[in-house]
Amino acid sequence: MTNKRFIFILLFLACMASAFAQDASFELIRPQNVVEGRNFAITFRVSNGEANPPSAPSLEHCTLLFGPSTSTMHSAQYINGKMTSSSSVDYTFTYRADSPGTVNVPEVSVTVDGKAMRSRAASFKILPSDAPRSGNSGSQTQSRQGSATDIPVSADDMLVRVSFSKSSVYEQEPVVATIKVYTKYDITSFLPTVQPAFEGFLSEELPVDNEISLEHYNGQNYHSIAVKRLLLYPQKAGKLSVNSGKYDVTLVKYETVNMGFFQTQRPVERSITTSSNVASIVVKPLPEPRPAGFNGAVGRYSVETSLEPEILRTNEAAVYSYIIKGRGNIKYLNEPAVQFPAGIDAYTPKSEVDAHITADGTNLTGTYTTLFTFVPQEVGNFEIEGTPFVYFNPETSKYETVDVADMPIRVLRGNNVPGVAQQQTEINKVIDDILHIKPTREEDQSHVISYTYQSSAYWLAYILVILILIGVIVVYRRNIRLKADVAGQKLAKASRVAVKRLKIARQHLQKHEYDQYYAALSKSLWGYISDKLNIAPSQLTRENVAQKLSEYGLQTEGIDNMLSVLDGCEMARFTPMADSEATELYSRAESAIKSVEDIKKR
Amino acid sequence: MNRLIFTLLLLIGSVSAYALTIGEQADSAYMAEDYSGAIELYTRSIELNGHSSDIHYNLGNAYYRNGKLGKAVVEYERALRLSPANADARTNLEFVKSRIQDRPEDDTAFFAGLHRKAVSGMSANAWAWIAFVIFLLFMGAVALYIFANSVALRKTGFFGGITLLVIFAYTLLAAHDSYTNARSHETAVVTVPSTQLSSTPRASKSGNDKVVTIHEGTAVEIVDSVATPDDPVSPKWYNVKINNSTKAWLRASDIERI
Repeated sequence: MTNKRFIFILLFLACMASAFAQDASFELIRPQNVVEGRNFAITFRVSNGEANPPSAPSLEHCTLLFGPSTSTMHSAQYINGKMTSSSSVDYTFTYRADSPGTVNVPEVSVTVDGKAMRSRAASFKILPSDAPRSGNSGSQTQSRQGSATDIPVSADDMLVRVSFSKSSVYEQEPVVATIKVYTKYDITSFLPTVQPAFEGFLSEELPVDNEISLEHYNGQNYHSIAVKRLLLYPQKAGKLSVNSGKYDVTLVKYETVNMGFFQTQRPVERSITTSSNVASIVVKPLPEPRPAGFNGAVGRYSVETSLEPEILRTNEAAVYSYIIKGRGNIKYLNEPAVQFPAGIDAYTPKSEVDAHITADGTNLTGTYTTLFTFVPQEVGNFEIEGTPFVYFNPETSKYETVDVADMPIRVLRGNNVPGVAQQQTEINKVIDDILHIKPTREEDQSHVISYTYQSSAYWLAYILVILILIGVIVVYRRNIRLKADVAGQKLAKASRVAVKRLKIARQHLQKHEYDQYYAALSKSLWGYISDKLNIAPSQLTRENVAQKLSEYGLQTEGIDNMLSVLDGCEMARFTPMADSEATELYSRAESAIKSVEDIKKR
Repeated sequence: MNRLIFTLLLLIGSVSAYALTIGEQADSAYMAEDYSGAIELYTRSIELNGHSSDIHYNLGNAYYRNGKLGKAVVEYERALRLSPANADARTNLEFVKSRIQDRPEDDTAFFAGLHRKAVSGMSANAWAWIAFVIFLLFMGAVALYIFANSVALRKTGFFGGITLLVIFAYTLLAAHDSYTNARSHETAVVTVPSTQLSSTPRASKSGNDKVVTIHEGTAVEIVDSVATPDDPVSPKWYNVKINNSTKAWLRASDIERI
């Protein structure tokens, strides 16, 4: 007894390790497909609770044989000092499948611990029994081992098939491809040597549930298992085919062995090579004309934009996010072309995809975020123009546009002010065209172009200027000479005038008019000195005459002689003199003048 | 007969009084983006009423808009020749030159380049008058030297005079260069999209000569010309200098003299 219980507990631990629950539940174990004429079981499981056995559901095409039979399981776990335990009761009804068709198991309700609970409805198929073999036509399978065992493996006993979920799709519209193995025997090894190539598709691997189910195919019942499921996005239009893959498979066949009284079966391993079918799908091109801004997005999308941070400053980086949300070929979208206004330096955008497979496994869903990092260079109000997002909706077969609102941005002056030169280049960049025309005025136009350089008047002007200068110089020179000549003439005339006056004095002497004689003699001498030394007569005195004469170069005796004559003249005017004295004075005056003249000659 | 002439005269008078001049028509064609129409009208206006810096500038703009960069360069150069002070023409010439494909290596010496820049900075007439004014100042300095009484003033006059004489010599040279530049027709611009430089004055046979292609808008200097009567397609060839180190022959029909 204790031994039995121990075995039970071990079994529970082994089988139910993953499935333990604390809450009471009631569920239907999903029924598998069955073949016509066979018996099968429908099992309801009550976990962690007490319930009355459910009533047997009545099923189409089936006959209830017996039930419910009950089996009870308990499990306990002790993890980190915490004990968890679970228990379950299975109620199994056994039916016989009578005729092929689809069987719906209706919802069944029970009361678990005083609470009404319902199981989910489910359906399965009753498959027709194997049709008689129609020969080994189109055998793709060969026996690799030419062993003594004689039973050949039929091509129909082991199949690998590739199938598409849809027969025709649009470009970029997702389609699910499934690689399934159909077999009548146990498979011990399954090795793909050549994988089917999905050319022209972008693929996304889908999870496979390793559940073996019974399936009717081509009049035969097979155990089938999906080995691979792919979500495919066709990249080009036309009929796309998937070439066949090659597989090395080892099967286990049971041979009947006669052992005298018994007949037993023993397993025999057989290695075979099989190839999958060539599957094809029609890919429709996206309808033309494609609207402007369409960038290959197929599915259903919405767009959000955001700006970070809210207050922008010059020379400080900011991020404009363009987030595309939705389902479709989200992984294979292209970056939207967002135009930034002048005065903003935009960097290369970065895109991030966050996509996962939808619950039904037929498409991708998620977000495609493009981050535009930019640095505003100028203060002011700008607007980032909203770039509309255009996508193709394969459900409606129409292009749809998501309008994106313009994003107003306000840029304040940042802390690190850019240099002036940088701003100047910005201005230069703006003017990138020729300047505009000027109004044409006919009065400006002329056939003859006059060149000053060529005209004779220009060169005459030079000559004129030179001539004027030369003229001015000549006149100036002459004036200087004239000025110099007045003195020279006076000098030249001096002795002549003196001689003339001396003659007059002599006439007075001969007539014995002594007063006139002395006056004339004195005048002739003073006049001679005045002219000779270029001194105005009013400035003549006895002292400065002596000085000037010595400056002129006259010897002391000459000066004394001159002065004695002058003194004599003065004295004689007041004290009468003898004739001989008057005559001597005359000759002395002559010699005085002569001595001065001699100096000049030297 | 007399009455008819009178009416005709009246009509002509009224037409000229109320209608737009050809130049104004050309301006409005340009505004309406009818550039080939504008080119035609500007050309006719130049034929009828003569040249002006602005009309050549406008014609250059019209050629540029019409995609003829070479012709545009020719017209801007003409506008600048008439008035080197036409800043808009200089701006647009620089702009168009930045768009042309060829950029021959500028191998002129530093001072020669400066001189050329200075000469092209002002019109020949402006240079002539500047030279004259400098000459007057030089004369003034000579007069100062001759007539001044104080030694300092006379020294000023002497050295100032020598300096002014040097400046005068340069300005007169600039005036002369500017005048000869304005009168010369030795500069030309390629007006076809592309043409081939060949080493001899004949069409280069494929593979025979090493040919270099030059493109629309490139300026060349004509050194020599030769007529080849046996070549019916392009009877006249020019020997051109692209820069100080490159000399080659070009078809006369491919370039236009400024």
